[in-house]
Amino acid sequence: MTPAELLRAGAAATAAAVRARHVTALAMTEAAMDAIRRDNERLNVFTDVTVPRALAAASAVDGRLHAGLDPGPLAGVPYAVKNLFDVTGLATRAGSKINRANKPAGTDAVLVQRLDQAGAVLLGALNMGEYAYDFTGENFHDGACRNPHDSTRMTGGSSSGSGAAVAAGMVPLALGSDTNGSIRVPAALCGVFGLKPTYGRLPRTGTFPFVHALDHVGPLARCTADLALAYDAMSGFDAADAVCADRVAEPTLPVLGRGATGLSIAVAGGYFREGAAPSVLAALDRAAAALGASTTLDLPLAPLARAAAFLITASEGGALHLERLRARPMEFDPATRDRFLAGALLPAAWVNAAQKARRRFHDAMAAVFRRTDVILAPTVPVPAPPIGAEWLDLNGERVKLRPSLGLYTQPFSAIGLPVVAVPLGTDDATGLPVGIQVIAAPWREDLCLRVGASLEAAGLAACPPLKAHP
Amino acid sequence: MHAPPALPMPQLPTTHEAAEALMDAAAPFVGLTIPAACREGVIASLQAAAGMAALVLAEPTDPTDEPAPVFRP
Repeated sequence: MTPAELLRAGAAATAAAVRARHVTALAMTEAAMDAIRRDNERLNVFTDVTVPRALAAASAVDGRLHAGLDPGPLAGVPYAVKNLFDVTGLATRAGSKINRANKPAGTDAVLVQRLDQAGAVLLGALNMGEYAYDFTGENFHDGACRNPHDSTRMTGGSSSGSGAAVAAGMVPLALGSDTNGSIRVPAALCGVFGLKPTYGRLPRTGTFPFVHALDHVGPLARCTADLALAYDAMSGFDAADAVCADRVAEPTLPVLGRGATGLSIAVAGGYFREGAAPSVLAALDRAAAALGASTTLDLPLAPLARAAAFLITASEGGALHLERLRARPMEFDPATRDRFLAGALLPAAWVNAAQKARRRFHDAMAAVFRRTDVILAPTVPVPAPPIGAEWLDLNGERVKLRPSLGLYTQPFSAIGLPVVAVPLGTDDATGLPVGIQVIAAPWREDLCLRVGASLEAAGLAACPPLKAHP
Repeated sequence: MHAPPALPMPQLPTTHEAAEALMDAAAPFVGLTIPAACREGVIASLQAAAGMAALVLAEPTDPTDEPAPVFRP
C-alpha cells in the first residue's frame, strides 16, 4: 500500500507497515501533511499543524528502527488532537478566542505523551466547538468544521476536527473529549469509530476542562482495532487527574477477536427510538439482527439522566467560566455565551437534584447490567444536518437542533459508562453516515470493542468511503 | 425505599417573565452583568433549564440518597 492508502487503512496497518520497514515514519508523516494541505482549506479541520515537531518525531521513529530498537506499537502513526489538549508550544485554545492569548503550553497533555512514547507522530491540533459546549462542529472564531462526506454538512461536535480528520484520511487517529457526546456525535456524523471510555479511565491531565463531573477523553479512529491499540497505549493511572482510577491495565487488543458470542446483548427502546430517522433505526436493527439481540430495554429513566446532565453541564460550565463571563462576555462565541451566562445563575437546588437523579439512573443501569452485557442504541437521531441549521424535525416535532443532537448520548455519559460509537452504513436519501452506540457496564470497554469488532467482521460496520468532491 | 414527598412539587415557572426575574435577581449575586445583547438568549436558556429542573425535582428521593459526587462508575 502507498502511504496515502495506509492513512485510510488505519493506525494498526500503518504501524505494522512502519515496523516491518515497508514504509518509513517520515513518508507517513509527509503523506499526512499532503492530505492536510489538500483538504484543510476546504474542510477547516486543523487549527495548528506542527510540522517541525512531526518531522522530528518521525525521524526519531525511523532512527529507532534503523538502530534495531522497538519503535512502539503505534510506530509512525500520524495523529492529531482536539485543541483542548496541551501541546508544547501552542496556546490551548479550547475552541475559544479568549484562551489563545494564554501562554503556550510548557508540556504535552499526558495522553499526548503516552501516544508519543508509543511511537505515534503528532501532526497538530484540531478545530472544536468553543469550550466543548457544542454538538454541531460550528465555531464562531475559527469557522465551522466541515463534514468530509459533504462539506455543506455539520461534522458534529464538539470534537469536530477529530471526527473530520479521521474521516477525511488526514490522520488515522485523533483524540477528542466527551462530556455529553462530543466524541460520539462527530464519530456518527462523520462515519468513524469513537471510544468514550469509563469515567475515570483515561487521565485528562493537560486538557482544558469543561465539566469536571462529566469530562472524558478518548480516541477516534477508522476501526475498532485502532481504537483498542490507541486505548491500550494510553491506559494507566495518573495521579494528577483526581478522578483517574488506579486500576491494573486491562488491555483490550488481545481480546478483540473473541467476538460477541456468549454475550447478552439488548437494544435500547422507548426514548431511544422516539424521533430517530428511519435510516438510523434501520442501522440499529441491522446490528441487533446480526448480533442476535432480541431483547428490548425501555430504560425509562434516560430522559431524567439527560436532564441531569443538561443542568450539571450548564451549572459547572457557567461556574468554570465565571471570571471570563464577568470580564469578557462579548469575546465568547455567541452560540455558547448565553448558555454559559444562564448556567452560572442556576439555583443550587436544581443542580443537587440533578446529582441525585444521576445516581438514580446509575443504580437502575447497574441492575440492568446484572443480566445484560451490552446495550445497543442509536448515536444521533439524524444524519449530519446542514451547517447553520437551527431546528430539527424529529418525527414531525420541530425541536432545537443544538441540544437534540445529544439526545441519545447524554444519558450514558451522565453516569460514565463506556461506549463505542460504530459507523453502520449510510442514509439512503443523503448518502451520509449513520451509526450506533455500543454500551457496557463500567470498566468493560473490552465488551464494547468486541461487539464493534463483531459488527465489522459481519461486514456491517466500517467507515463509509468518501464521494469524490469537485 | 423512597419516602413520599411531604408536599407535591409545585409546577416550576418557565415563563419568559419568571426567567427574566431569576436572571435579574441572581446575576448580581455572582458578580455578573448580563449584556443587553445577551438578555433574551440567557432568558431562553433559563427557560430550557427550568424545564429540565422540573424533571429532576419531580423525581422522588429519600433523605439518605447520596448524590453523585461520591459516584463510582
